[in-house]
Amino acid sequence: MPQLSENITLVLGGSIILLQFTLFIIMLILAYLKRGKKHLKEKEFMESEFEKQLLQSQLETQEETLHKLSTEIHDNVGQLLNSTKLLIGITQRTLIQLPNSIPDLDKALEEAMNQTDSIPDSAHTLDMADETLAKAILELRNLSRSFNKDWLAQFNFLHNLETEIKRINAGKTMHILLSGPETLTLKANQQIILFRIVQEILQNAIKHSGAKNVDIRIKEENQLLFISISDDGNGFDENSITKSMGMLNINHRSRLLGGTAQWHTSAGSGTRVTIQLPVNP
Amino acid sequence: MDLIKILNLIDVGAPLVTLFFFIKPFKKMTRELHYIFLFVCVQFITNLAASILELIKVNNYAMYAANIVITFSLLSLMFYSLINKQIDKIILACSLFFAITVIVSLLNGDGISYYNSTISAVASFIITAYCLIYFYWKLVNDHQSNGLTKSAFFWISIGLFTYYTGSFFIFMSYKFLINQEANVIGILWRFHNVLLTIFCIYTIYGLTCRNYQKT
Repeated sequence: MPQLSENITLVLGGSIILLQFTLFIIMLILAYLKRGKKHLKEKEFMESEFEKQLLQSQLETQEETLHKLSTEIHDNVGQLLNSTKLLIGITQRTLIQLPNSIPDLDKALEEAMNQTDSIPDSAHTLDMADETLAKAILELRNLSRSFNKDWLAQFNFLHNLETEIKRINAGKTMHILLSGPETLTLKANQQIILFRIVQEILQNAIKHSGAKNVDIRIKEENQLLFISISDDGNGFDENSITKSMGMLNINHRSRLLGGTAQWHTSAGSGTRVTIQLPVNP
Repeated sequence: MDLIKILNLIDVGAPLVTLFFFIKPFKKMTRELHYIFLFVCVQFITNLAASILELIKVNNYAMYAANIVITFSLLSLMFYSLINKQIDKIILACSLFFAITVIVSLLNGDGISYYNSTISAVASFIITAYCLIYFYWKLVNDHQSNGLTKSAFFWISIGLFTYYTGSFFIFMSYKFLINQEANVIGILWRFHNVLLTIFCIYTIYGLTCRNYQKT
């Protein structure tokens, strides 16, 4: 190999220095881009955390409102209905005892009964009113419980869902079928949020779908919880998903649990909602 | 000695290999990437022609002059359509300056009878400046710069920057050295060929990024 002259060495040395300079610039650019990416990730994380906290506070407010509503139903409307039931009971007893307590009126009453048959009718009506009132009280009590977070927290998601299904099935306008595991590995507070999601979906089905049957399937697999709720109702145009407040709530709640909610529907062919949530045992 | 032979021929082989990587994404590519494709074609054709002329002992300086003029024009057009309109004037001014340099050099016979160091060095300097302007513009003004490393253009620009910056001293001193130390000057051209290969590697890497848009 021939000996390199001073000039060649100088040019080569200069070129190598320039090459190092380019490398330095490239490294700087890449480091800048990497820092930018990291910054962007941090920003996205903070935004998602902020959104989560916002959702959390919205849900807490909703829970608070439901709790207030539950207390109102239980303490106010419930008490009034109970009082009314009591009064009906007293009236029923009075009607039974009336002929014995006032013997002088026996004859007159018998005559009146023969003439109009109105008292047995009234007694029967009162019996029915009493029965209906008892049903209304029971219904309201169940409703009040389903609104009450503290009450729900005593039981797990599946137990609360079964109770809710019983309540809805008792109305006989819709029949809900539930299939799934006996226990779930979700945390207690997550179970309440999940219950609210399913509750909202069922309410939507009752109010808007005109469905006769609803099928709820729950499955836990590979640390993921899948819930599928399908009905045989009218379905709807999928483009209107973003317009519904209830659906936004379902989406918000699912995101809060780190999962997703998806609607599969078209007009006239029923609706299937699938919820997918991560499970951390 | 095999390595020297490879290094002598790599200025033809590397662009040829690079051209193959343009085939698949060719239809998806933007106009700016078509300029790069033409740039690689010119590199391949002129370097091949220069090698053939050298083999048959014919003066090949005109090939290198043609190479630098055509590639500079292509890259100027590419950066002109790539960089923000606000700095278009810089590119127009640089192109005008380069055109004057070429005319003056050719009138003096440089690039035909001798290797034209002046236009090569000027072109190299200006393209390095274009690359720096492009990086600056992308990093400071472009809000989408976070996806830059996934862009074919980014890696091609890095290749151009490395090639022209590294070759600057070689181009500048070549005419002088060819007269002074003709027997050992081959090493400088081989070093230049290595830089061209580095450009080709960056281009191939850029083409595999699958983002053929401007960003």
